[in-house]
Amino acid sequence: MSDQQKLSNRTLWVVALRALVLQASWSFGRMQNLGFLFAVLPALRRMYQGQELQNVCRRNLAYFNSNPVLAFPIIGASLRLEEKKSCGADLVMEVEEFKSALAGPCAAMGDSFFWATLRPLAAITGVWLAFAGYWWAVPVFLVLYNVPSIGLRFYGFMLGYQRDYKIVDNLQRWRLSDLAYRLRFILVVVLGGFSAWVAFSGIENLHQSTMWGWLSVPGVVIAGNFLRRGLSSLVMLIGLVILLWIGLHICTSLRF
Amino acid sequence: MPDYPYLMAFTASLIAGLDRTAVFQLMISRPIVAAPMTGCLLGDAATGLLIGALLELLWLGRIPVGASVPPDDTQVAIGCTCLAITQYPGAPIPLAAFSILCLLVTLPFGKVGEFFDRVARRLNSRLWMRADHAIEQGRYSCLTWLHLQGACHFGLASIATFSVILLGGLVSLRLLVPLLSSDLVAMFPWLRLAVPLIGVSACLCTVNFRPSIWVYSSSFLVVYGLLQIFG
Repeated sequence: MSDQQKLSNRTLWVVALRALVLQASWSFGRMQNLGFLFAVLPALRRMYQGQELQNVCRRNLAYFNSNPVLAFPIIGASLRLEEKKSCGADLVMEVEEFKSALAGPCAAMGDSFFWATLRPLAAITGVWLAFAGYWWAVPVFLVLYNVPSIGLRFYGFMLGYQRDYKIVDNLQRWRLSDLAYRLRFILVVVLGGFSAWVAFSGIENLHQSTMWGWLSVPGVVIAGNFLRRGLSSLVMLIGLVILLWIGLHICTSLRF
Repeated sequence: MPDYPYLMAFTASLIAGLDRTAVFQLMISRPIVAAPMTGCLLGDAATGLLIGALLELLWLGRIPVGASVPPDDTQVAIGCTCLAITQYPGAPIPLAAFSILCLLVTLPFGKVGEFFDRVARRLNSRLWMRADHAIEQGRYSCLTWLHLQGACHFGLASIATFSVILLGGLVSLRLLVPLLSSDLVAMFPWLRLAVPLIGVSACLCTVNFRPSIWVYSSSFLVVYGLLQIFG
């Protein structure tokens, strides 16, 4: 009885699609709690009625916060556990405990992989193409980010639903942290190549010797040091404009 | 340019603003997409692409982790593109140089986005309490509307931020264009060189990769050496 599937494929798809707006009611107090309940509500209404439905909705309104991509496997797995529970099966771990145990690690893994690695890598590739004047920089950025992101959302949801507790093994096997580290290496290599290209073309535009371009590396490192110490890039930009403006006026007055 | 450029820009602001946090997160909200999209709607995608690329670099490292709210780069990108296209005074100032000036005047207003975003999130705190009441009364269909109301709060926050950026940018441009117009042409090649490099520094600072300086320097040396030989 416990393995009997109550939810149709259509309901599962509805839940997955509703999970795309998980963060619509994000709040400081309970973060994505209402979003979680909004996503799973059609499935819960098929599983429970009356007072039981009221209780299960209350439970699903508890605090929840995770990465919007890796929240999908959690939603899938939680749904499967709710389904088993509604069929009368004894659960090793309660659904709320499972949700809260997985939300934190998934948030850390997802933020590190998607926000801090994949997005900057896709963006710097797009920026380089944009500076080179290619209009398809935008589709390249969108494809580089969205194919893994959307793919993992739906695959993770279905896998979570099929594997329930065992989704933890899959999440470990994906080794997103290791993959993020390798992608960060590629990101830094691309940043170096992009800087070299910007410096070379910029100095050519200024009709100066390209030997000056070698100074870009210490320049970037010094600027990085200021930024690490809390100076914002905006203040640095404004300072640069003021220095350039003063420099230009001094050069003009000296007829240099 | 279309008949109603500001209406178009407001539409772009709403769509991209919703994508930023509330809906889908397909990265339409990133400056490299939002700015060319606005440029395309206003009839000049190339200007949008330049602004988007520069802004993307400058704010590449700002990530929305947990409860942190970064400055609203989406609305800055849209506001800056809108100003650059609609307020361009014409020759002798190159459009690209004017775009960089627009970028400089709109960048500080990104902080306003933080404020409106926080207001939206605070308003959303009431929603789950109302959802709790709705559950008690068995009004489950009400939960959907409450959740979508949160998206409306984010949408309104985006439009409010965009309005402030647009108005603030317009006033700043009125003050700065007469002052800087003659120098912009001379400053432009230097800014085009320096702004992306500042962006790269900002990004390098946030990359959690220990040997980043060595890998970055090696990559730079190889590519720059090759460009000097073959470029």
